[in-house]
Amino acid sequence: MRPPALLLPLLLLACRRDPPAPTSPPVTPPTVVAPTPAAPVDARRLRDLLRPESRRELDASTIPLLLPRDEALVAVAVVTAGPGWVAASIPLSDLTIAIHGNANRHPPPPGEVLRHASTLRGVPATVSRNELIRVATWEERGVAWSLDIECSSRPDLDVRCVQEDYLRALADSLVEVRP
Amino acid sequence: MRAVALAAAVALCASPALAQFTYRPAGELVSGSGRGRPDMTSYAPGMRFPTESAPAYANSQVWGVGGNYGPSGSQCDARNRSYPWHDNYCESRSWDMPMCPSGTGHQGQDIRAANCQDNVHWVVAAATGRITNVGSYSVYLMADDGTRYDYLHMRSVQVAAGARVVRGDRLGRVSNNFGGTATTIHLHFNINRAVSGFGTVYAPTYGALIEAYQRLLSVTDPPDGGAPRDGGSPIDVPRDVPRDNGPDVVAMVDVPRDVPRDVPRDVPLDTGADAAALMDVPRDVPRDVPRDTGSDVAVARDLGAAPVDVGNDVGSDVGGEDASTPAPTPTEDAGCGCRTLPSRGGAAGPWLLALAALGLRRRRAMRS
Repeated sequence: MRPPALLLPLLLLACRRDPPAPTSPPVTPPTVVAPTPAAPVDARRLRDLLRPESRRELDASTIPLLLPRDEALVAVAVVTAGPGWVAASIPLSDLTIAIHGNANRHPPPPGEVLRHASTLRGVPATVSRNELIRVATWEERGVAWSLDIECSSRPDLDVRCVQEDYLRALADSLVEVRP
Repeated sequence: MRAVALAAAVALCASPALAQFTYRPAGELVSGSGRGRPDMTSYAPGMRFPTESAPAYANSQVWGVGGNYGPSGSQCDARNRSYPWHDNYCESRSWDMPMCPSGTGHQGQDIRAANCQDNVHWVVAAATGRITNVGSYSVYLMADDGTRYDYLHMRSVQVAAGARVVRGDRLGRVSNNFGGTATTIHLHFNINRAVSGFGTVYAPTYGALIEAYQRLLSVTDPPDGGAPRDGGSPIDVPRDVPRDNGPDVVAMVDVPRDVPRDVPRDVPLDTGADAAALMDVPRDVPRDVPRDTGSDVAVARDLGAAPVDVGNDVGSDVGGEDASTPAPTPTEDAGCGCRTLPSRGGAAGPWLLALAALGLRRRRAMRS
C-alpha cells in the first residue's frame, strides 16, 4: 500500500525538528529533590502576576513556592523568603491564606514516629485546626509545607474554617512557581 | 567558696523575681484536661520570651478560673496569675495533633500577662526574622533558622506581612482577639518546626518558654533584643502604661473601668469563641482525677507508653517541691537543634540562696 502524498512532507518535517533543549538543573538546596515537569498551569504567568516586591522575594528564594491557581489570589500575595524557606500571605476581605515551605527540616523527636491521618495532593498529610485556624501540613519533594486558612469573622461558624473542603480544594490547586 | 557565695548573692540581688518562679513539669496538665506530653525539651533554645515584661503566667485559659472548664469566677482572679506554671500543650481539643499522646491537642501554650488589663502588655519577637503572615487574630514570625513562632489573640498589631523584625521588637499587645468572637485575655503561643518525612509540627513550647522566662527574670538575655528595647529591667512595664510593682502585681488585678470585674459565665466572653474552640471537647471528663505525685513525669520519654494525666488544680500548688529540687544541666542535641531542660524545679533562686547561706556560715565558722 502506498502512503498518502501528504504523509511524506510531514515525515520530512519531523526529521528536521531540533532536538529538545537540555533542561537546566533546578535551583534548590541539596535537600530538595528536583521538581517534576511543569504542571499544565502556566506557573510563569503566576509568577509574573506577583507584585514586584513579592517577585523579588521569590527570585531570591532557594526553594520554589506553591501558589494557588486562582490568579486573583496570587495578585494580592505577599511573598517572603529566607534561608531555606519561603512563604506567601494572601489577605482577603474575610479570610487570610498562609502558605509556608520550609526545607530546614529537623529529625523527629527521639523515639517518635509521626503519622499522618489524611492525604492531600496525593501524599500523606495532616489536616487539623489551631485555635480555629484550619491548617494542613505535608511534605513534598523534600520541603515541609503548611497551608493555613484563617477566617476573619466568626471562625467558629465560617464553613471554610469549620470544614475541610475549602482547604482541600485550595491545596489541590497549588502550583509550583519557581524563582 | 567565698567567690561562689558572692556570685550567688549578686545573682540574687539582681533577680529576686527569679527566686519566686516555679513551674510544674511538662505534661502535667490540669486535672481532667487531657493527657500531657512529658517533654521538657527546649525546641527553640535561646529564644526571647514572647512578652516584653515579667511576670507572665503560662497556664490554661480554658481550665483556669473563669474559663469554660475551670472554677467559676473572673478571668482576673489572682489564681490565674500565680506560680507555678502549667503546661497546656496537649490539653484536650478535637484537632489532630500527632505529637500528643491522645493524637489530639491544643498545640501551643496559653500565657497570661502580669494582670488582666486588655491591650496593654507588649508581645515581642522571639527571634530575629520575617513576619510571614498577619491574619485577623494571628501573627506568624519565621526566624532565620526556619523556626516559626505564632502569636494569637493580640490587638494593636505593629507589624505587617513581609516586615523584618529583630529579636525583642514589639509585635502587638496581649488581648482577647479571636476573629469576632471572644476569649479570655491571653497570648496563645506556638512553635512550628519542619520535621523530616512529615511536614511541619507544632513543637512543645513549654521547655523553651521556661528557659526564656528564666533569662528574662535573671536579666541574662543578650542585649540584641533579649532585654527590653529601652535596656531597662525586664520586669518594667512598657513606658506608655501605668507602672505596676513587678511580681507583686499578681495580687493587684486591675481591670479597665469599662469592663466588669466579674464577668458572668454566660456572657459572650466565655460562651463565644471559647465554646467554639472547645465545641468538640468531651464535657464529661472527670474533674477530680487523683493526682499522681509519685513519678517524675518528665523523665518518661516514651510518650505512647506513658501518657500523663495528673490532677492538679490551677493555682493550688505554689512552690513546694519545685523550688527545692536541684536543676540538672540542660543537655544539647545538635541534630535536633534543641535542648532538654531539667525535668523539675526551675527556680534557681533558692539554690543560689542556699549557696550564699552556706558561704556565710563557713565564713562565720572560720572567724570563730
